[in-house]
Amino acid sequence: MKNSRSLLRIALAVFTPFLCWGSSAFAQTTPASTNTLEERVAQSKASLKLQLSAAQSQKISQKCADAQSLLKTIADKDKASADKRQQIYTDLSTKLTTNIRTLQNQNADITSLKTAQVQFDTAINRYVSDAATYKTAIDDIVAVKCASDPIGFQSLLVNTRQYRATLASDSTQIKTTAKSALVQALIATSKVLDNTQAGGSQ
Amino acid sequence: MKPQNPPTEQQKNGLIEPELQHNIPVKLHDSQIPKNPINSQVSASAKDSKKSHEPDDKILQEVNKSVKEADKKPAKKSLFSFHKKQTGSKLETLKPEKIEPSKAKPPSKPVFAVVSAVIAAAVLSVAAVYAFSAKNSGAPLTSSQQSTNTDKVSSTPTQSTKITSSDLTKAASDLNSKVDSLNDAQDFNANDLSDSSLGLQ
Repeated sequence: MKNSRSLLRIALAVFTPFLCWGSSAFAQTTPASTNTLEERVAQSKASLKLQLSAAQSQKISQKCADAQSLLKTIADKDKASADKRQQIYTDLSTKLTTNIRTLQNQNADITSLKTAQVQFDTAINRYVSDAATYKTAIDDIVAVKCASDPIGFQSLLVNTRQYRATLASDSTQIKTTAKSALVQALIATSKVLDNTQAGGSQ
Repeated sequence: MKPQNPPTEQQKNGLIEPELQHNIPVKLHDSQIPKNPINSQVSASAKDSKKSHEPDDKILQEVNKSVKEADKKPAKKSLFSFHKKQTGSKLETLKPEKIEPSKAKPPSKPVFAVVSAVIAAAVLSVAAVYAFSAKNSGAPLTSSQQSTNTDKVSSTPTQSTKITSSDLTKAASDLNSKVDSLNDAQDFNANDLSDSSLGLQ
């Protein structure tokens, strides 16, 4: 009996820190519950705190159904363009990684290339994250019961516009990084290879 | 010939009842006759039933011996076994000399509880470590479940051929053209979500 108690104490002393750490990590992993449409609408309304007059609410309630049809078309188009864009970004990043590994095996100087690659991939990852947020927002605005919740509909619409603008900014950043940092690094590395080959041949 | 007894109820039901054999002629050794108090007791009991209980102890000892002998040679039917049956009541009071205690103890409940608690804590710890590592794993997931984390190995295997400067120049050109093919103005036109475009005005 005494041995059982001491064993239990030791087990608790060893595993309690892991349990506390794990619970905090798990809490960080799972943010505040926004898994349902209602929760996201409530969160959007709480963050924006929009106020509509009676006339505005009535107008939105009357016209939002047609707006949702148009938004559905926009959502489908955006999804297609987002998938195509993401595929191009992924291919570019993969090819760049392959070239860098090959150059590394050749003992070439890839410092500038790796720096540019980090910037490029960071910009792409930011776009990917924001694209998921935008997709959720536009799907929510299509699904929300706008006639009974005009404020919710309007809040989601405002958020969707913001996320779309953020996506445009992310894409511009990717283009800038690719054209300036990455292309320049590729050209600089090619010149170094030229010099190395020329020096070796002499 | 001794007439056979009619079948009893137990025999009819298939159970075999032991038959008591009376007056079995047993050849006794000469040494046994004087040492056998039972015999003397049996022979004396008919003469004097009001004797004291002093021979009872001797009887018990002898019966003990007979029990041991019966354990060793159970097949033999001797006078002792016969007397064993006669003195059944005394035998019932006898206790075996040794009763080996059961060494195997059932597992105690506290140990089981402790072991299950330790296992549960280990499982929870593993789950916590996995959740933490998944949180810090890197790039977010896309719709095609692809990420562009620089630490990840590319899906394309490393080329074994050398890369020349012309390859890098071509890669730069390819990068430019593909990035330019993406029409940001068309894909992210702010006018698409305006009130006028959506008919909310």
